[in-house]
Amino acid sequence: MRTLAPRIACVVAALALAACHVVRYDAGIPVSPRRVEQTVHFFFWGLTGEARIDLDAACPDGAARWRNEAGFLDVLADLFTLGIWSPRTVVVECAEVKR
Amino acid sequence: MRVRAAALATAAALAGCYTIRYERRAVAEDGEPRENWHHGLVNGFFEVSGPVRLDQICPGGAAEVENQVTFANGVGQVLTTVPGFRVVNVWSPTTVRVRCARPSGPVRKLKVVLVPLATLAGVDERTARVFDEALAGELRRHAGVSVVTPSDVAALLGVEHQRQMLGCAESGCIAELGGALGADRVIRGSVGRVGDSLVVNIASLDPKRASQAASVSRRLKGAGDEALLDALPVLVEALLAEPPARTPAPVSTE
Repeated sequence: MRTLAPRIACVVAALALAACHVVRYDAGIPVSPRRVEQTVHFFFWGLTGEARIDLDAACPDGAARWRNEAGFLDVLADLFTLGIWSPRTVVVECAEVKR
Repeated sequence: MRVRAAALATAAALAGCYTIRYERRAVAEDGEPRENWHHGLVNGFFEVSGPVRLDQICPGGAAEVENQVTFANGVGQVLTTVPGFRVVNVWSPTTVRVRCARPSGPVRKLKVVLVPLATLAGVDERTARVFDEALAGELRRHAGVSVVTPSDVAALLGVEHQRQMLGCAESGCIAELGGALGADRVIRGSVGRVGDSLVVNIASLDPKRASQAASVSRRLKGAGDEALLDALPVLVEALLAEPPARTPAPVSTE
């Protein structure tokens, strides 16, 4: 049991680290509180599935910032299905509209 | 050695994986996209490259942005996997491709009068009026475009003119209507159903020149009424994408 504990700790740490893979994009315009979150689905280690995000549909007044990330739950799903299902999360933050 | 070979094979298999494409309704510039590696450390926990600064890459705005794990990225990830602990890789590069929006020059101011769509077979009047509203909404989303709807015409010119407008089909009538409202374009069209297909024809007319500036026809095969709503952004894009006006050559007065 003693030898198992560090391994479990390592797995948890790895999961926590893996859960943060992120690529952020910044359009350099002011951000509003409005944000749209969407899960995109990939299969077989990302080999199949192609995500298309319509930024204008998500934010009709423009997208200020967005990111795609492998969130904690995404990585958990990835590991439990051995990569057969590899979801990713996309978060789009809309631009502030000057009225 | 065998493990490394297997790892490389895995990287090869994963080439072009996890493709996420962000799209805007802007016309992308010609040529190859601007491609950069985006570096992360420890499974991407530390985003070394920082955010992709699209305002610096494309000062005029980006049309398409793509993030992908390419073959080379996959090799980098696999080769820096922590020995004995394959869930973690030290270096986690991905590739970001950006296509900038084609410069459109200064925003063109366009006042558009929208004539209600004529209803042909298989589309009821109330559905067509919903299409009118959706079309007006889509036109308004374009910078510089102001839209005068049939209800605005009634308020501005009175109910009698609105009635005339509903029956407005000839070029003379269109020119008169456009002139009365100071419009740059008059948009009119029809929508109808043939079998399972929804057929829509919309034209943008220039009342000052009494000519057609642009037109678009679309057959939405096997589509319900809501398919037209989905097609509206493309239809409006086509209507507004007019060829630039030719500048007349300077005339010598000597």
